[in-house]
Amino acid sequence: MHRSLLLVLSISVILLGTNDSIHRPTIYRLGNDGTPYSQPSSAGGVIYRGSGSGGQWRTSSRGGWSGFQGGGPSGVK
Amino acid sequence: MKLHPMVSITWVTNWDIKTVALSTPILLNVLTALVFMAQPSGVHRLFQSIRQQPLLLWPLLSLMIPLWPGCTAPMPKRELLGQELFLPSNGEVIFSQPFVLDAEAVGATRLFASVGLPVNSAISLTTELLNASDQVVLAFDKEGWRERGTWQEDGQSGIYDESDSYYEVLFKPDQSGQYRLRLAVDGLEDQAGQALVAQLPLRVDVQDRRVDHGLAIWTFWISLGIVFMFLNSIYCQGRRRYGGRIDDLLETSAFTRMNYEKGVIMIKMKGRFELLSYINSDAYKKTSSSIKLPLSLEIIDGNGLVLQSEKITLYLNKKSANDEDDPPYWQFKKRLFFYNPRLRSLRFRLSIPEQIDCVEQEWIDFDLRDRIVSMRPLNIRRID
Repeated sequence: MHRSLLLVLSISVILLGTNDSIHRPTIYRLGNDGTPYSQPSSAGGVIYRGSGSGGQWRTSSRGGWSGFQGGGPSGVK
Repeated sequence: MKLHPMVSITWVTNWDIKTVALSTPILLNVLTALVFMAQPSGVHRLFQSIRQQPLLLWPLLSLMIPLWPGCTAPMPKRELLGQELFLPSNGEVIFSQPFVLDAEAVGATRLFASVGLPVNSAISLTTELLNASDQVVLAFDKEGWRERGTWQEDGQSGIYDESDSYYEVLFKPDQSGQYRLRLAVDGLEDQAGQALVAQLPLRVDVQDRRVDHGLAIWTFWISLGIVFMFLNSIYCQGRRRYGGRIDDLLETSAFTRMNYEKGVIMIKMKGRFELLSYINSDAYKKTSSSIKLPLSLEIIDGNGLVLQSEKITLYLNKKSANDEDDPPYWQFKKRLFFYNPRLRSLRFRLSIPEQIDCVEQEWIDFDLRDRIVSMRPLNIRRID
């Protein structure tokens, strides 16, 4: 009994995982509500100006830019 | 009919040659069949030992499950735009070359840009994605920086040059068509907050059909792990009939008296021997690392008749204790497989000496199982 469960589980994992890795359902589609995923604080991250709403992108103004902050020698710590 | 003697002789000779030529293969076949049927022959034993192997190979096909996605062709990412341009820092708007996005494409579209910043500066870079009718469908800012300085730590020093001057955005288009990027520098400042004037090199890359390789690799390993759990539940598990940690092997082997069905029976033993307590603890240095231990095995049927009797040599191997101060111990591990050709009552009478050389037995982990299946041929003793 538990053997067939393990087989079914293994097949489900490979089907779901492969499908998700190809079709990527969590990725933001243009026109949907919200924004793509991004962490502004990490390297490569961005800050969105506005968000998707009702099939369109509504741009909003952003707060002031704080200028030079610097990261410091994090690589050697 | 009376033949001339000469003719008669010729005829007989011809017949002989023909018969011999024809009957040689037939004779060979008969001989081969006799060899196969003969009970105590080597060939018969060979076939018998192959037939009694509890090989069960179809579960190994489950290893194909994690490999299955690899059977299909890999999906390469597709380059849609790769452009290098210069961005003036005065806020002038620059357009990228147009590129075509496909809403039906699998995977994600990746927007990547990297800007070359002067030393000790910060930038606010605005990017807007425009569709064919010049509507903004995505807008974001990148707050990038680059800093160079010296670091000192534990009497050492050096120069660091660190930056965050690229961005990566993943999305999927909702409509196929021509798109382009509108880029502008909102601000470029030095450390003191003074505006800088420069032409900044910018590299823009757009790719689609980006597959999540990390997820695919995780999926492979998790699925393989579950398949191993599946295989582990089948091979060398069988049905447990008796087992546990025991002191006296001879006494415990009385509990092996039970009915066994046709198939393979396994006795697994792992024993621990330690130095005799009255012996100087330095004596182990002289004791050899491998000690021979005779195991006597008798298989007794339901009428008390000894079917088989054998002396098996086990090897006690020296192992160091977990704690360095403790003396080492000696260990043996042995798996014995038996083929029982029919349902009957059996008893395995096992005994080993309590004490050998200068070590004595501490305990034995004993495990008796039947209905054993295997993925490889086993060394099986047949119980006749």
